[in-house]
Amino acid sequence: MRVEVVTVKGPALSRNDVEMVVAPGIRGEFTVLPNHIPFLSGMRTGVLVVRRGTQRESFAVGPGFVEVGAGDRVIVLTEAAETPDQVDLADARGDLEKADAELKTLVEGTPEHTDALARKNWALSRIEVATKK
Amino acid sequence: MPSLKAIRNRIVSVKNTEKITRAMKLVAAARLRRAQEAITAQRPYAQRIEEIIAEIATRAGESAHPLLAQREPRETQVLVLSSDRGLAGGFNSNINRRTDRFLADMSEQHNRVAGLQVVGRKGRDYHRRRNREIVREYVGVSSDTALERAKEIAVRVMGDFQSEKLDAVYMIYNEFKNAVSQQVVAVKLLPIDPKTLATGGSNDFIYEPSKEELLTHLLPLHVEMQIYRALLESVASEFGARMTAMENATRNAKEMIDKLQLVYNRSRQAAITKELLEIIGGAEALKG
Repeated sequence: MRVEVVTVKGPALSRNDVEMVVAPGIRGEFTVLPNHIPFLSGMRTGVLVVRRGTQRESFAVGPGFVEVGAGDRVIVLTEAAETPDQVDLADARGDLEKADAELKTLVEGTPEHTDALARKNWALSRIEVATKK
Repeated sequence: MPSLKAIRNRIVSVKNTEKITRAMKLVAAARLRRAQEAITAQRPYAQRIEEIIAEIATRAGESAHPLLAQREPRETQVLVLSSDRGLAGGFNSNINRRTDRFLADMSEQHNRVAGLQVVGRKGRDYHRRRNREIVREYVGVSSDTALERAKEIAVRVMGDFQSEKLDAVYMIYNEFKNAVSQQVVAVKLLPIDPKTLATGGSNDFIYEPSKEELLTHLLPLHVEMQIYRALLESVASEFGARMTAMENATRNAKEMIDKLQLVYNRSRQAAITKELLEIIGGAEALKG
């Protein structure tokens, strides 16, 4: 399979000869293997795992969509994506702390709360990919 | 005839102006490149989202999502994209003129325009002077901050549209053709008409969650990307227009320097000739 991750800032990464993709779907994590039927799913902030042979890579991804198209082509459309090397761990931890502090004072359901929660999840997934290489 | 010193001062001053216009041109060219890169970078993402929406929306129909709802347009809002700075040729005046025409058309059709949202100081000042209702203004938009601003604007107009405070939203901006040509366009942002969307290769997907639920995630992203692209195109157009304007200004300054230099040389020569004649005249008189 070929996996492409595309963000607003341009194509983020692509991998060929992929054997398995695990993505954080809106309805829960799902796995894509070769010869999958055409499939389109919403994706939430989390970790995208791409396996090639013995090599296993994880990427932090923001909310978006996973499209499994014809010819074993998997396109991940997302707001943001980072490889473990790109993650600035100190920055991510700072963001997490800030978002947590904000969440304590905000009311659930307000746009500010949703925004802080989104930033918290993004920080969490960045920390996850950076710490468990 | 101005004195030699006065001409020399003029030349120095025009030379300084030329240096400034040349620097402005170079800065505009660099910023233009940045904006152009951002436009290219967002294209695959925006295009794919558009294609997926086109596919789902045509299958699911108009009632699938509130942002697709076509209502009688009673309350319309206009998003006007101008720039913060002038010295960009006709960039801002073209936008302002188009906006005036748009508003005139609207009132002719008896549609109320429920205020303007204005990006850029130049547009804001123009409409403020005409006492138009400015609901919101955004200054300091660059290609780096465009995405953030686009999200902010998108959330606001979608909220007002879904609560039926607004029935239609338009954008007026400079579409970026290339570095030397920009064109002002007025496009409808809301409601979204699936028929106008680009369609890609059709795939009979299995959707998860449902089509309707996916649309609630996709459509806001699409609106956001539309605004983002318009902001980037406007920024690119501004710098393109400024580049052209400053190039012309630099050329004019050079011409003026050449002309002044000619006048200066002539005056200087005339002065020397006059002095020589006086000396010769004096010598002749002494010979007697």
